[in-house]
Amino acid sequence: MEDKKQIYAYCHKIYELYQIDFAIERKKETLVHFGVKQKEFYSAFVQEYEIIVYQKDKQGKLLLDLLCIYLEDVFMHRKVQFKHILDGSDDLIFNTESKVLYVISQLVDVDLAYEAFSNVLEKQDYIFKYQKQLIIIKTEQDYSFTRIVEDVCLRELMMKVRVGCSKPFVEKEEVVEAYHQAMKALSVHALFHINQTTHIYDEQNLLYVLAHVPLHKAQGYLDLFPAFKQLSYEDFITIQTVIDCNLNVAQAARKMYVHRNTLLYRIDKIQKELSLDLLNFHDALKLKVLILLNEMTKN
Amino acid sequence: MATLSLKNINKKYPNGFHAVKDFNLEIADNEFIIFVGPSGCGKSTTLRMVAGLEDITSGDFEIDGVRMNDVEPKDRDIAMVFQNYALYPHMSVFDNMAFGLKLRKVPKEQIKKQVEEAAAILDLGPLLNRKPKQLSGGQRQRVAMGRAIVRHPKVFLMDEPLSNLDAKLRVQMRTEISKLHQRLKSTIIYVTHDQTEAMTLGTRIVVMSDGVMQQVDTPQNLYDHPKNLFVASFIGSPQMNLMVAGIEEENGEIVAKFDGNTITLPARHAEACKQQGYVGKRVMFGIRPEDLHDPKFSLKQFHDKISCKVTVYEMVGAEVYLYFEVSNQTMTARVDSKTEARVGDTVDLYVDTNKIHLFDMETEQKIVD
Repeated sequence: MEDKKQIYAYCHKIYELYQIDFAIERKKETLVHFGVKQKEFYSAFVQEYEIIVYQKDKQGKLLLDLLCIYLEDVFMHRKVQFKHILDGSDDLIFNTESKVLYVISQLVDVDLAYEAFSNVLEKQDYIFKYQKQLIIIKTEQDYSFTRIVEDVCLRELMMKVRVGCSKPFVEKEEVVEAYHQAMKALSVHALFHINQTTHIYDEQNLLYVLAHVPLHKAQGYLDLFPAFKQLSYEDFITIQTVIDCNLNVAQAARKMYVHRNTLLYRIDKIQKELSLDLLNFHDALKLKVLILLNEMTKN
Repeated sequence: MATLSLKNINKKYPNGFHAVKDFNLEIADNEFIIFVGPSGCGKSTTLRMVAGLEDITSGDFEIDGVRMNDVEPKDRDIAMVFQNYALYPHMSVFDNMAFGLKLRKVPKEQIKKQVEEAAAILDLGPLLNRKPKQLSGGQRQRVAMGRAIVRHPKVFLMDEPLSNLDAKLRVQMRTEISKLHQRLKSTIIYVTHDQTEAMTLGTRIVVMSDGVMQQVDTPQNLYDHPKNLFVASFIGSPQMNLMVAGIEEENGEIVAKFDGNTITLPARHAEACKQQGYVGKRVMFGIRPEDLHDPKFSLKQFHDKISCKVTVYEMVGAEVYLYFEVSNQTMTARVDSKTEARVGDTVDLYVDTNKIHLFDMETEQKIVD
């Protein structure tokens, strides 16, 4: 009941912002319904909920993605318990070291993957199968295990997978939250077309905020920089790489396999076109937001 | 081992970005194919489509005549070596190499045989009991390759496998990969941004830019006969000298004029310029640095020369690079190390006109081959 109220309140707010007709059903019973049912629609299932959006265009698709992310949140908070995730293993003995929880999804053969990872993990690590996913709790402070995960999946198993990583945690009680974070990291990639295997929760905080920016406001911000749409793919790569390298030109040039002066020339070109200096922190932040909003509105 | 066929392959992402456009390539058995191009040109995307790690938006991909578009990556009989390889830290070299075979339930005896064979090819025999942390960078890279070799796949896919190594090790590993190809007699597709790697390893090279295949050819042909401006400037180090030149008819001869220099075009270039209507127009004139000669040390006499003022003198051992400005463009000449030219000197350099390249200014395609 509490969920129903919570979902209604959220959906009402979303409807006011987007003005797109949609409905959420649970076991064929309409839970919420805004606007009028029409022929063209998108639909998706999140656990027992079905989301139906009555507008078949990019805004409708965006709304569908947003509602999916939201419902996954609700579902996980309500349904997922420690014993579900960890296969009933309440008796885990956690050491006091930092751990990261990995969720590996889209596995074509969960059993084979389970066997493979069981071989590469160490004594203090845990691995579980949960809803066609693998959950690994790895004792580590950073995300160094991501390389092993990608290597095992892409090279040994030859499976295209998506990997979500939680923030580092210590206590057993934090496992559910860690799972939630890893799942959230996974769900947000679709909205922003992040074409990579591993998604780390900690690195995507900005995305979660931007995911809730109404489309017309996102478009409005993009319109403040009309030249942005004219940037070439090379310009986008340049912006992305320089930001990924913490505005370090030498490092970015190495990563892009271009000469430092070539990179500086490209940065200068971007500045002339947009009046934003990629090497200035505040302007770089604006460019980062522009890129993400652009991806979101392209959806 | 295997033949591969890529027909009209396209990759379009949901956000509309067209990463690979109409890619066509037939790869013969035992070929060492290199995909080369700047970052973001679509070379890794194409490789990942071959591996099955990326869906093909349209087109057909076949291995040995069998359509692979919908075949799971694990069933394609392909092995990959990545730039960011990871060895399993608590396993020995033997176990690292045997890992994939164990997962495939290969009998123990067979695993031992295959690992030892691969170890012998890679000179890893004495290191089989060591742990990864006890290995040098080059040895680790060889173990990563060994993990692919033990599987005896039809095709090897290598995505910038040497990018994480230092310069010296890269040269060493390059040689080893070349030997490996000769020993394994397998089909290899190798992605790199490094043209030296491309030129030294490949039997054929695919040059890509903006998702489009620019040219496919042997290393020598790519270097000698680039089809367009992009290939001309991308292949070769130092890169080809390129400048805008006016094509004119002078005393019955067709000449290229730039910055006070006049170069008489050889017969086939002159004929092509006449026939295709380039006389009176501007073209992109290209000449490789080694096709400019210091008259004092040139074994051949050439009719045409350009006059220039040396701005930088760079001694690289066996030869000297002279840098100078022509039409506000920096040009390079690769001349004999005994050259007397120094910074500030005005020198005449012979132009080997048989080696010039002319490109259309708009289409950027070569005017005459």
